[in-house]
Amino acid sequence: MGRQYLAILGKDLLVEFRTREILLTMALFSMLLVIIFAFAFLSDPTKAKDYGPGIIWVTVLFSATIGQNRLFDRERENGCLWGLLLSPVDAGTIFLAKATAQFIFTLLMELPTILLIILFFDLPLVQPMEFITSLLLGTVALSLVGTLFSAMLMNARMKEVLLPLVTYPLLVPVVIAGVKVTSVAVGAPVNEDAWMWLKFLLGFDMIFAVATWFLFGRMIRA
Amino acid sequence: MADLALKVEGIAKIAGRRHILRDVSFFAGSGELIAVLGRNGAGKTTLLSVLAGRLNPDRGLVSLEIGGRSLKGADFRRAVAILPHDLLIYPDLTARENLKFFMTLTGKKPDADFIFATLNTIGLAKDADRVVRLFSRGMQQRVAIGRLLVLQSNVWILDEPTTGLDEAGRRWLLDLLKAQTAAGKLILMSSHHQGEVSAVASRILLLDSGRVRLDGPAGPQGATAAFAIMDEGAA
Amino acid sequence: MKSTSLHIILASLAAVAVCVALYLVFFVAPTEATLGIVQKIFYFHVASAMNMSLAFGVCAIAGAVYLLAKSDKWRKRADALGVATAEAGVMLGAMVMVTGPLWAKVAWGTYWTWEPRLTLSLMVFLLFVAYLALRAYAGSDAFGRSIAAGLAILGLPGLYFIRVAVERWGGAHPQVIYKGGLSHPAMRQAFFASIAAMLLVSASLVVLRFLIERRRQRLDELFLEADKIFG
Repeated sequence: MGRQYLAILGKDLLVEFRTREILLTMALFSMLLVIIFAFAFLSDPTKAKDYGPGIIWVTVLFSATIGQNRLFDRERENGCLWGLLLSPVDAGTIFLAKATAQFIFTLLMELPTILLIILFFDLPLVQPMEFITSLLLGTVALSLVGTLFSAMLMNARMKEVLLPLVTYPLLVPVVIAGVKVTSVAVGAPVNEDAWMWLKFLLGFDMIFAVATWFLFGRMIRA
Repeated sequence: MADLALKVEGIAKIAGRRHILRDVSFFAGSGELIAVLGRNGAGKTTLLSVLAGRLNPDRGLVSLEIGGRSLKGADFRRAVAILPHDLLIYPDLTARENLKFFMTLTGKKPDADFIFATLNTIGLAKDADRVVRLFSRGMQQRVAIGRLLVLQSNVWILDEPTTGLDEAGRRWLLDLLKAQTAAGKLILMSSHHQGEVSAVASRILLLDSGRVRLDGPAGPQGATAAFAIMDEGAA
Repeated sequence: MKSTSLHIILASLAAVAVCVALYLVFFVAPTEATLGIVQKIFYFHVASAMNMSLAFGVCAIAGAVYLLAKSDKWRKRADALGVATAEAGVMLGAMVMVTGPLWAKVAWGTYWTWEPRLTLSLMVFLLFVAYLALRAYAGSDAFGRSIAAGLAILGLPGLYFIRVAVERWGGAHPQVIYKGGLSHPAMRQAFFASIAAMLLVSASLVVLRFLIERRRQRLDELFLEADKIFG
């Protein structure tokens, strides 16, 4: 099972490395979003610490959604997802491999984006460890929920709007937690317990990892 | 190859308020090459999808036994491989990478020699390291056949596999299929081509409006009869 | 059909319960001191919100049955129950979203506030809307229904996390202090009556919608029978 997981993951990374479609789409979109946010919010630079964290998470969320739709476009192209599902590989393994690929792509998008935000909004990283942990845990959540539903919605009409409609309500707690931790991490004057929120994210990830992994096989073989 | 028994019993497939397949039953074993015939809309592709496990039948059962053992789940999927119109290969990988990947899916470590041999069999040894997106349709089909060879399954299900092949390619594929059935595979193949059916099929399964209209030995008479039935409906 | 009489019984009970509840709310429960008659919206608002949450729970269970059951009969029933509770839930949600701001404006001076319960109700409403959107646009076959069922199931842990997050979102200090509790016993009486009445109304609507869906499924089956013979 491990070998098959690595093979599928490796294949997705290899294809992306060759075409760079998803990465470029996500990265360009997120950077444009950051610039628009800067114009929208930066009339008062002293407030940057207040809404900087929110902007980070909104940008990550929107770009991740864009990327998730693309990830399964490729599988749809030659019916490849069905090729995978009809192979001896367990559906759960396929799901985990796809979610991991999505996780890696989203992280790669986050890197330049967040540097850009920190630059434009002049955010001090007082507690970088907490911030990075929140990003990792949050991206896991985004990838799990997003991969599950973008796989299901691969062939649906209006999938561009259905995917956020379905995933965002479930991801609201992740955004709340992420912004809380990030606010603390940039030294905003808030009274929050960052570690409580990080544990919250960890709990979310663990429960949703099991739930999405289990549901994928049931849902896709309807 | 161990003896193989495919049992299809009472398959029905529904779309909304209409049946695509009504009550399809037949038995098949190793070494057979069954040509699945029928007019457009008769249910060929749907039947093949159900046999491959891609669609769940709304009624009825598909069961596969090899050596007396009933295969389910992953074992079933290992034993059966489908080649639909979509080809199921990755356009952004090379031919060799595609074959390596599919071999890993079976759970085995990719064997470079075996892959090399397969590339030779499908005649793509020269273009092994070119990305499939750049191939012609005929070459892509060869890669798709390579996928089937690498998966090493006992049952092949092919949906009009000769589409887009030139005359030489078609002859090559038919010879390959014949060789595979001689080695014990069970092959189910849908086709519109009377010539190739007469040439390779051992048996004909004619579908009409989701029902089995004819199930008998192939050969020139069988093929002629089947195609005559199809034509009369069209007139 | 046996179920039709269940539906009539439920509807009758609901009608009676609504009358009783309205009477209690408007004629028996005293008018609250601070807020005046507007406080009475509270009875409708909370009753709707509680029943909406209940409807979601049922929808999620129906989704689980749909995905996990082997027998076709139970899958069809689960599917019908899922869509019935979702539609009832959206209706209840609309009531919550209308009565909430009306009450909030008078009670707290603002039409909307991100206090935990209102926010949580909004999220349940959104999930129901997403559920129905999936059923409408993600295919009317088994596949579209599976996605919706999966969403409903994930909504259960999802709503748990949403609730925790939203409650802690406002910080350590609760942003809102409820003005005026249910001090008077007659108020509590009206409160429970409202909940019961809303429960019966929702149940009637769910059963009715369920029956309609079952009829539609039966109709599909009849068409299929005909197609089998004549097709």
